[in-house]
Amino acid sequence: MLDASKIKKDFPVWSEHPKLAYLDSSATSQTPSSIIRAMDEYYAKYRANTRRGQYALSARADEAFEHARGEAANFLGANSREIIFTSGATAAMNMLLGMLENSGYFKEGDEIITTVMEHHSLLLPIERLAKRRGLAVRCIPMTGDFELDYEEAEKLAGERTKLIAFASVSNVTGTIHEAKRLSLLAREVGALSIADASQAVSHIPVDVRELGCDFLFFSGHKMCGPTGIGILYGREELLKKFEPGFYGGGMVEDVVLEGDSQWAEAPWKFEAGTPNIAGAIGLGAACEYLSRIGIENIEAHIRELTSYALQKLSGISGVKLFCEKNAEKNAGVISFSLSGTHPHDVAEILSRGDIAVRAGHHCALPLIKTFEVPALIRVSIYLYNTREDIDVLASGIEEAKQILAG
Amino acid sequence: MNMDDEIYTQNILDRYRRPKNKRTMENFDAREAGVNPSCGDSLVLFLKFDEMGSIEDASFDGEGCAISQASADMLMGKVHGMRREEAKRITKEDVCGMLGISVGPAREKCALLAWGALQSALAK
Repeated sequence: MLDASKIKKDFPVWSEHPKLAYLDSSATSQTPSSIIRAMDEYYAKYRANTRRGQYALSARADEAFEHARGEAANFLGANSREIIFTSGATAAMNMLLGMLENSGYFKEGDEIITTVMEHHSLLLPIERLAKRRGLAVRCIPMTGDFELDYEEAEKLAGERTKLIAFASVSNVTGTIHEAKRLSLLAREVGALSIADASQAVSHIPVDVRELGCDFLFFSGHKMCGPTGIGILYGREELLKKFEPGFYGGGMVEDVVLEGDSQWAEAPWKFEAGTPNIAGAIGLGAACEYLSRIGIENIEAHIRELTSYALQKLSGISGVKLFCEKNAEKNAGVISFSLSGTHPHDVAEILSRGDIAVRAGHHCALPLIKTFEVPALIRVSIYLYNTREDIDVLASGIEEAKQILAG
Repeated sequence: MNMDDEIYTQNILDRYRRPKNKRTMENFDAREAGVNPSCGDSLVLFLKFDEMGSIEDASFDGEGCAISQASADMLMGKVHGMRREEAKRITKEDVCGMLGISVGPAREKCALLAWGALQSALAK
C-alpha cells in the first residue's frame, strides 16, 4: 500500500504550501522534483534540437527524447514506433482526425459514434469534422447510475460507423468506462476506436494491447508531467498507413517542389516542427516515476480514498452526488452540488482553507445540461491525497453551507 | 484573512438569500438575457418604462453565484425610478461601489453580469 504522506515529500509544492489540500488533479496534477530536475537538466546541460545536429549535445538531446518515447511505450504496453508526441490531448485528437481526413478515410453519410459523457476536446473536433465532411454523429446515452448504455451502443453501431470515440474515464463522474468492450464493438463493425485516456492514465492500468483500441491519447500534465506535452498512440500498421495530420520540418524523407514529397517513417512523420523536447523528457520521467510507485498501488490508493470521500460527502446534508458511487468503478472523480449554494461560491470559500477544488461545467457542457444544474463542484483524487485532505474538505463544505445557505 | 478581502459580506449574503427584485415580469418593455458560460450563471432582466421614459419596474430571474445574484438584485433596485439616460450612465465602477466589496479579477464577470445585460437592454 502506498503512503501518500511520504509521496507528498516528492512534490515541492507542499514545501511551499504545507497545508494545501489539492483536490483538482483531474484539471492538472502536481509535479515531483525528479521530473522538474529531468527537464532542468536538458535546459542546463544538453540543450539542442533533436533530429538535426551532428554534434554531441544534439545527439544527447535526441537520445533523451527517444528514451522518453520508449518510457511512454513501456508505460502503455506499446512499442515506441506507435508513440507520437503531441502538445496534449486536445492536439492529439485534432491531429488524429486530421490524419484520417487527410487519408480520405471519411465519405459523406459515414457515422461517428461518441458518448454524451465526453470532454469538449473530443466532442468539438468531431463536431467540426462531421460538419465539413457531411458525417452523422451518434451519441451513446448514459444510464441513471452514470454509466454508459452499452446495449444502446451496440444498437447504434453498424456498417456506416467509421469511428467509435470515447473517454476511458469520465472527467465529471469518474466512471471507468468499458473501453475494451467499445474497442471490440468498433472492430466488429469495421470501425476504428479512439480512447481518450486523459483521466484514466496513471489512475488505473492502461495497456493498449489489453484494451484493443486502435488509437489512444492523453496529456502529460494530468500524470505528474509538464504541460504542453501529450501522447497519441496508434496501432503500428495504422500509423504506417495514414497521412500526417499536419506538415512541416523534421517529418520528411524528401521534399520536391512539384509532385509529392516523401514522409519519414512513423511516428516521426507525425511530428512536424521542433517538438517540446523538455516536455517529452519530463513525460518520460513521469512514466518512470509512476511505474516505480506502481500503477496498481496508485489505483488501490485512489479507490480506497474515493470510497472514503464518497462516504464522507454523502453524510453531509444538502450534498447531491453526480458521479459513479461505486468506488470500484470510479477512477477518483467526485462531482456534486450543495443545496442552496452555487459551486463557484463553495469553491471560493474552500480555497480560503487551502482546499483546491474545481467548480464549473468541466468542459463537458452536454453532460452537465442533462443533470439540469448550472455547474458542479468537482473533487479529484490522486496518489498524493490523504484522508486528512478529505476531512478538511468535509469541514470546508459544512462551513460553506453555513455561510451561503445560512 | 483580511476583512477587506471579504466578499461574502452580510449585505451580499442577505441579497443572495432573500432578493428583493427577483421575479419574472409579465408586461415588460425590455427583456435581456445575460450569460456567463464558464460559471454557469444565467439571468434575465425585465424593465418596464412609464410614459415619461422612466424605469417604472425592474426585476431579474435566473441562477448564479452569490455575487452575480446580489449584484443583479441591487442593480434592479438602483435603476428603479431612473430615466433611461441616467441608467445608461451607470459605470462598472458604480456597480462595484454599490456592492461594497473589493471584486477581484476572478469575480469581476460575476459582479458585472447584470450590468452588462442592463446596458444591452438600454441600448436597444
